[in-house]
Amino acid sequence: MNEIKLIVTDLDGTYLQSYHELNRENIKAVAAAQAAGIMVCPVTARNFDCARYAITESNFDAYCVTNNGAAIIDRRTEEHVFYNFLQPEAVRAIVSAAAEANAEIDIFTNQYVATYGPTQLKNMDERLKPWLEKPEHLRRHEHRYQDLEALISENCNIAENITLHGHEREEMPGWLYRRIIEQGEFYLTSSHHMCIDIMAYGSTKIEGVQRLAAILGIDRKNIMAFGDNSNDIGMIRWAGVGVAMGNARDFVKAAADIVAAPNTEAGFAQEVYKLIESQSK
Amino acid sequence: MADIKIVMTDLDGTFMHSIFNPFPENVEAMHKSQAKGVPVVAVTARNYNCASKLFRAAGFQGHVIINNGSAIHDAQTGETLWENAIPDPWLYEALRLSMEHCGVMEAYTSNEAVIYKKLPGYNPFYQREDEADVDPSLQRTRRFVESIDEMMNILSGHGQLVRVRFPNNEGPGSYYESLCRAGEFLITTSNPGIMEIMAAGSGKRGGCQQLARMLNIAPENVMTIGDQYNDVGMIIWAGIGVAVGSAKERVKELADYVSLPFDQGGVAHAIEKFVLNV
Repeated sequence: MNEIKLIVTDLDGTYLQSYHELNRENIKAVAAAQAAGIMVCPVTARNFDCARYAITESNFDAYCVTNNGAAIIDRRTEEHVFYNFLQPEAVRAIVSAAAEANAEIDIFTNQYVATYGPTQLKNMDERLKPWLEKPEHLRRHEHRYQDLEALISENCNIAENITLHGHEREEMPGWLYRRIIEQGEFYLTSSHHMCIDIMAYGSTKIEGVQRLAAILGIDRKNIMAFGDNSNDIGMIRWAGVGVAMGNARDFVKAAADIVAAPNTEAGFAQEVYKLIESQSK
Repeated sequence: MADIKIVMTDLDGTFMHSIFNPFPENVEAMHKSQAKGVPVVAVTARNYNCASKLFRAAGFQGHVIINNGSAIHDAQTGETLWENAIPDPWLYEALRLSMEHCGVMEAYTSNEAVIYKKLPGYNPFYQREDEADVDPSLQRTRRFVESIDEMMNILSGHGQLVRVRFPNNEGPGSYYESLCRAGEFLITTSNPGIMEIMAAGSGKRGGCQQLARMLNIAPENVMTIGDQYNDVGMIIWAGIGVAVGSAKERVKELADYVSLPFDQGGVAHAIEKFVLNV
């Protein structure tokens, strides 16, 4: 195996224990890797704001790939090193159609999520509770809108990705998808159940990792990538060593070189320590 | 405004009069453009097998971009110069879900069209009366299979595009949701009722971008011409994005320039304006 100089890891379902829970073993493994001269960078569908807590606690290396590849952020300054916004006219058309379909709309910028919907998702307060328990500076920022035009005009130029949910978690209608498809070329993926993520052309995790590798001057054969979901397959296949978590779906595991233990059993840490040991010889 | 160094044009509904016949004025404009050193490249949702005879007959030189931007071939020899196939795990899921939800689908490599034939009311895409009279040597080759596994055997590693048709033109929301969970796809529509599914990185914009990079041409030196929703990506990306006058409203809105309708020399007019008469 070639020497690994960079580890890139998905967060949810991979590095993290659960959405808000970090695994202390994994954090120690990051430190051990860095001490052994290996960089460790996160590659997440979350925007930087939602990932800040995990990133800060883990002390990842400076560059973070966020918004499913639409952005690369220097975590020291929280500035973009790379960004790929959706076209403003496309944002307008997609969001208008989604509102017509009564969908719940999340527009993710780098620093906050702009939300709009007929009713907020059920159990919103439950979902927000863990954020509210965090220190102020680590909480996610949400701008809730009542006015559709304000939502669009204030965010259409800085939208990195849009997530849509069916109202009451219902299925969204076929015509809405068709309308989205007619607006241009987007990547459509789904980071969790009953939601659709819409990203601009050029925003995928694999493209994010490729850009990161170019910035850091690291060849793909010297990269190890960890993931669990279908949107990780690209980088898992592209990297020199691809690792699928034990909790990953079968076709994600099939795409990987190594299958680790599940995220709930610190599968990430186990593989990282194995790597450090094999490279120390 | 920057010089146009290359023209990339859609075929059906844009450059073409019918499935095998281009408009003569477009062919003439293409030859004049090529004589001036500005290549004209076809960018089509068809695969290479379906379009190759046309390319040679009409005099397309250099490169062709096929399967809606999934591959680039040499126009004359057919050699594959670039390919962005759908990763097999995603491809299998796309085929399986398409079958489950709507049934009618075809999958393409550069040279194969594989049709899943186990469906009531099956009617092959683009099967038209005018093709029945066409010389057998010009007809497209198709393979009919009875299982997804058979499809995967033929496509494996090189499946670039899955074409799906819904009776109600839309398809159920659950289909798209399942598809999105299965991979990172780019989905376009070349015609009402038809959907093309490709891997992220394909699409006409992806194909055009890739060719421009290979030829060291910047986007501002590219003119693209199209008429349908699946042309929007390359129209937005290019320095000059042209919609023919007969294009969909939304496509015209997003274009830099709206030319004449496709059957009144829309392509020839754009080439004259932006390449020949500058």
